Amino acid sequence: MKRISSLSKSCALVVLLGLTLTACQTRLSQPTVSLARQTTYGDNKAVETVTNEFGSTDLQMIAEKMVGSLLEDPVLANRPTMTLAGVRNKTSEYIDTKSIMNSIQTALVKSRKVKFTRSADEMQQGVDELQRQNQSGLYKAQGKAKLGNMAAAKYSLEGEIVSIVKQNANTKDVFYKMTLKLYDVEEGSIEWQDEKEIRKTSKR
Amino acid sequence: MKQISKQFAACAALVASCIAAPVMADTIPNASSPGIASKLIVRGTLEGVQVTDLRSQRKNDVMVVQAETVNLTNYDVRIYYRFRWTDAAGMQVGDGEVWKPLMILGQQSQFIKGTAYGPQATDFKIEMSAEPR
Repeated sequence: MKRISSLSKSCALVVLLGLTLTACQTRLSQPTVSLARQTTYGDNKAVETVTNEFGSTDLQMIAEKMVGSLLEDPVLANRPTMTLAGVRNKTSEYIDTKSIMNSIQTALVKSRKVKFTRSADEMQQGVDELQRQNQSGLYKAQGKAKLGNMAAAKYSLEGEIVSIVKQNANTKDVFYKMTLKLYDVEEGSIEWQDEKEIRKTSKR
Repeated sequence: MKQISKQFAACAALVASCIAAPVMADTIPNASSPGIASKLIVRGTLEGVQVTDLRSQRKNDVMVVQAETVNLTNYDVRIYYRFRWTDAAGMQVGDGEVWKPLMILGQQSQFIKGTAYGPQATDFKIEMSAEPR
């Protein structure tokens, strides 16, 4: 019994010594200004499942699917001109559909497989700049952007997003479907179309 | 006394089978061939999911990759995957894809497909991760 008690005493001593040594170690500070470590930067490509409402992962997955589908389609074979039209939000949530289209546009522009022209939303700024260069009398003729040389879009990208929500006491199921269509502006025909479906189920 | 020992043995067998199942999943290789394995970046184990087929082709001058994944266990496994695209010099093309969740039911096979960000991409890897059981 005595032997056991002396063993436990020495164990306690070793633990105490270890704790003391740990306390003496100086921790290196990190290059941050936050002291309350409640905010952290996470992986912006991680799967977000905080709630089952429309989130960043849904936006990114839709954009990736649509871009991939468009890029492998022969409709982009000769680097055509394209413009963004609206995306109708038919869900019960507020969704920034412009953000989805911007992500799609960014990836397509970076692929160098398509040329985007100004959309209707962006036109006024372009017109203002052209007028400033041509009508203000401030610029020399050389290098001045001439009026009437804008490239018209051959195709227009437009679509809609819908959702179906079902729930009972324990479960909520949300089904999103984003449909994107590429219209030939002159002919009015659909030259490409794809859908992305997402199902999110949460339990209480 | 005999009855208690029988019950104990039954419980032990049940526990042993439960413990043994994940170990079996761990022993399943992530890929069915070394060639496929060389194209995968797997975080830990895929919990019994195996990539059995991998093919790529250029469509409209853009690389398209399709992989077939098979869940060789009887349990449902949720995996996460994304493609990494690189150019001829081994530099990353694009910003990097979002992780995509995919539920594969027990003994089910599913295709995963990726399209490169543009003609610059000439090579790829598939990054995969499985939710531990």
